[in-house]
Parts: sequence; structure tokens; C-alpha cells
Amino acid sequence: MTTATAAPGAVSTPGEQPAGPVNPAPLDMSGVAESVRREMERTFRRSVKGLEYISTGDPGVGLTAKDIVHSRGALRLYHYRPRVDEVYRTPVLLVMSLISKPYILDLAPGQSLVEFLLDRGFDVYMIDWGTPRPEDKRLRLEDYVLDFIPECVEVVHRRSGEPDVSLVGYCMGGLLAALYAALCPDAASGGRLRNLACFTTPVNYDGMGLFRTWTDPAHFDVDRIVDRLGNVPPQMLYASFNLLRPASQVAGRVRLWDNMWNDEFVVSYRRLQRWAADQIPFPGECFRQTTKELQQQNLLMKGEFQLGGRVVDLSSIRVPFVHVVAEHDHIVPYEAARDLVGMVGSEDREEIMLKGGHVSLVAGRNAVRRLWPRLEEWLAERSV
Amino acid sequence: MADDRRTGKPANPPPDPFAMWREWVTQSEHQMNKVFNEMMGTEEFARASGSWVEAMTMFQQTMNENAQRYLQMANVPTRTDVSELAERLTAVEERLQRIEALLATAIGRKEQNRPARPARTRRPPSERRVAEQPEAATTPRLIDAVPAGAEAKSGGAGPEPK
Repeated sequence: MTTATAAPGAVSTPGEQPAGPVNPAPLDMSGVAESVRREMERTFRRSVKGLEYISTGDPGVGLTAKDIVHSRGALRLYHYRPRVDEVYRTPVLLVMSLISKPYILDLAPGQSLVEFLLDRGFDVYMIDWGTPRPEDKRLRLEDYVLDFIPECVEVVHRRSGEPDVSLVGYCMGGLLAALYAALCPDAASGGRLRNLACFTTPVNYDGMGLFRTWTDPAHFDVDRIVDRLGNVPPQMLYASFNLLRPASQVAGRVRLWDNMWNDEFVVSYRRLQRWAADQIPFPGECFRQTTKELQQQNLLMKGEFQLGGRVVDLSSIRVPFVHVVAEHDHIVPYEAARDLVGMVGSEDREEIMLKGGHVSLVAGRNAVRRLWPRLEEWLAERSV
Repeated sequence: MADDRRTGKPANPPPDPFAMWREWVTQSEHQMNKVFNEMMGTEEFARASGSWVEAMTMFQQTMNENAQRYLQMANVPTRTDVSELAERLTAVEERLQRIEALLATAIGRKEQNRPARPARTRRPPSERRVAEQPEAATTPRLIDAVPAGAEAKSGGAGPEPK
């Protein structure tokens, strides 16, 4: 063992014993000086980069090459251009949530689930619900589940020439995909659905935490909101999401300042922040329906939820199914999501819990290491 | 200096005040979120937020109605007029699409403007590994699954904005 007076970098030999009594090693204050010097340097770079941050626009997002192969109202169906010479037989259709923009799945080269799937040999399509216009206030879940999704699935079928498709839904997109799977015939019954993958999809709204409390019918009159405003304004949704973790807004700014010298951090922060703030209105009738029937009455969990006059029975889902949930999801807590895997009737079904939060599950460094390879593995086996 | 025998790093590293400050920010964030969440989970808060939403929607409605009246007086189309027009356009668009789809089916035309189609014959890695056993045995697949540079570009733990 080296002593405190030994030259820096000296290495002891195995078995060497201390010659005298062991004194606590004194602190190496040169390390503190180094730390201060590093922070001074970073402070200078923060000032320069901070000016850059203020003077430059948001980085580009959703840049993977694609074609719009179908449009209807605000809806756009994208077909991403293949990046390899050989793809899996079954195309993949990504279904996004109604309340956020889909480019979270295609943030930037190297940070794009879409790009990853293309590179791993999948034929990828995505439904972008677009920004609801005032006239879309009458849209209900029936329109999305029984009309728009089946129509997009047919377009994918016609374009790919394949009889079936895998659906991958994120957050409320997972709910839409699961409702479609429950109500429309699957590939084995003359339909088109081959596989279903959901990410952080709520089914038990008793587990929705603060959202559940805030939308208590005793205090929250959804009818009045929809009747007065039509579509629910994005600012209202953004504020409610921010309220879930109020201190994180401030802490996020502090971390941004702390990492202002780090270009990679700043660009990543700006992309995610742009997405988080880029909320879209929620179609009014759909908001009324989800708030009353799902959030307040929890009808899906009770087996009493109806769409188009038919009771939604998730046990009628028979296709291979996977539900990926995030351990630290504060938007869709595990209590709200965990029942889904038990409710579907598929023999081939599993739930995968990964570290991370609601957003870092699908985008960012954690997603690259955790979710994406697992999704590839799961889909590849079932896409031939 | 006392060094760790295996790593050669100081066994008693000096406290980094900046690392301590970062840790304090994280701890404070968690604690404050917890306190706020407990406060916002009460019935009182739900009632207050319900009243706020009520006031906000009423204000918004009044603003909308006033703007509509003003635009009507100025003989300018209101948002309602434009929405009605958009609805009719959407209906025409949808009808056109249905006709196109029917026509395509009737004449057996395939999708146009389709880029070159790759072969749909790809096999899952597990099957490929069996087919190429000697080579695959030395190639860890999941490392290859991460796009080049993705780790570096993802920007660390990154923000969790919503």
C-alpha cells in the first residue's frame, strides 16, 4: 500500500503491509483546484454558447425521408423510404397519441426509432393525426378506431402488397391500437392485424394519479369546457403535464445552464423541449368521451366501454402482444398500465418493464440501449 | 496519496463542490416534486383548479364571441365561416379519395410513385445465426443494433420534459 507521502502514481505490490499505524489519508486538494479550474472554463464556454442558444432556432426534427401516401383531413399516413435492400415481410404501422406530435419517434438521425427500425430491416409507416382543426371537434374515438386506423391499415396493405401489418402504439396511440385490435378482426380471422406492441398504455384509469383527482366530476365539468371551447387548447394540456412535476421545470433549466458548454446536451435538450412544448389541441368530443367514460368512470377496466355500439373486450385480442412500460413513468403510472397484459387474450403475450420515464422510454440514450433493441428482437421473430 | 490498488484512483477522493451542488439540485427537485404532488392531490386543490378552468374557459368563450361579433360587423369571415368551408372541402376531398380508390380497384392499378421495393425476405437474427453459426457465435448482435453514434448523440440522460 502506498503512503500519503508516496509519489503520485506509485503502485504498491501485492502483500505489502503498512509499516506503521494507519492514518486517515489527507484530502487531495489539487483535485478541488482542478474542479474549480474546469468549472471556470465551462463558465466561459457557457457564456459563448448561451448567446448561440438564444440566437439560433430549434434544431430540425422528423427528418427521415418519407412519402405521404394517404391524407384525410388533418391525418397524414407516412411511408418511410427503405434504407436496406431486404426487409421483413410484415410492415410496421406506428400509431401516435392524439395529444402530441409524432416526431418524438423520429427526433434526429441517431435518435430516431423510425430510422433504427428502417436500418434493422422493417418497412415502416406512421399515422400522424395532424393538428386538429376547429371542425374536428366532433371527432370521437369511434372515428379513430373504427374508421381512420382501418383505412390506414388498408392503405398499408395496398401499398406493401402484404396481407397483414404489425401495429405499434405509444401512450394513447397504444390505447387506440388496442381498441382497434379488440374490435376489428385479426389476420387469423380475415383481418389485417398480425402483431400488436403497446408502449406505456393506460387501461386502468383509477391508477392515473393526479389526473384522476383533477378530473373528478365534482370539480371538473368537462361538458362545459368542450361546449365552450370546442377543441381543448394545447396550453391547457401542456400546463397539466407540467403540473405533474413542477420543480422539474426549474431543475431542467438549471441543468441546461450547467451543461450549456456541452453541444450534444443542448441540442438534445432543445429537441425534447421543443416536442414537449409542441402540444396540439385535443378534439373536443374525444376529450369529453375519454374524460367521462375512461378517466372518470373507468369503463374500459370494468368491461363496459362501448365503441360504435359494441362493448370493447380486450380479451378478444389474440395476436402476439407486448406491452412495454417505464419504471419511472409519471404520466402513465404503472398502476394505470399494468392490467393491460392480463386483459388481452393472446397466448403469446408479455410485459416488459424498462428503466426510464414516459419520454425517455422511446427517445434518447436510454431508448437506444433499452427499448429499441427489445422491440426489434420481438418484432423480427414475428414479422416473417 | 492513497490509491485504490485495482484502479489506481485516489481511495479518498476530494469532495467536488460542483458535483455536490448537482446532487443537491437533483435531491431538491425530487423533494419539491413530492411536496407539490401531495399538495396538488388534495380535494382543495382539485376544487381550486376546477374553478380556474371554469374561469379560463368562460373568458375564452367571451373573447371568441366578441371577436366573432367584431368580424361580422367588419364584414370579414369568422373562424366559424372558415371552419364550415373547410368541412365542406374535407368532405369533397374524402369523396374524391373514395372515387380514386374505387377506380384503382376497378382497373387493377397498383400504387403509383412507389420507390424501388426491397425484397421482403429478411429473416430474424436468430434464424440467421443458426444459418451462419460459426460467424454469428462471435458477433454480439445487440451491440450492432445500436445505430452508429447514437449513444453520443442522444445527449446523456436528457431532460424528461413531460
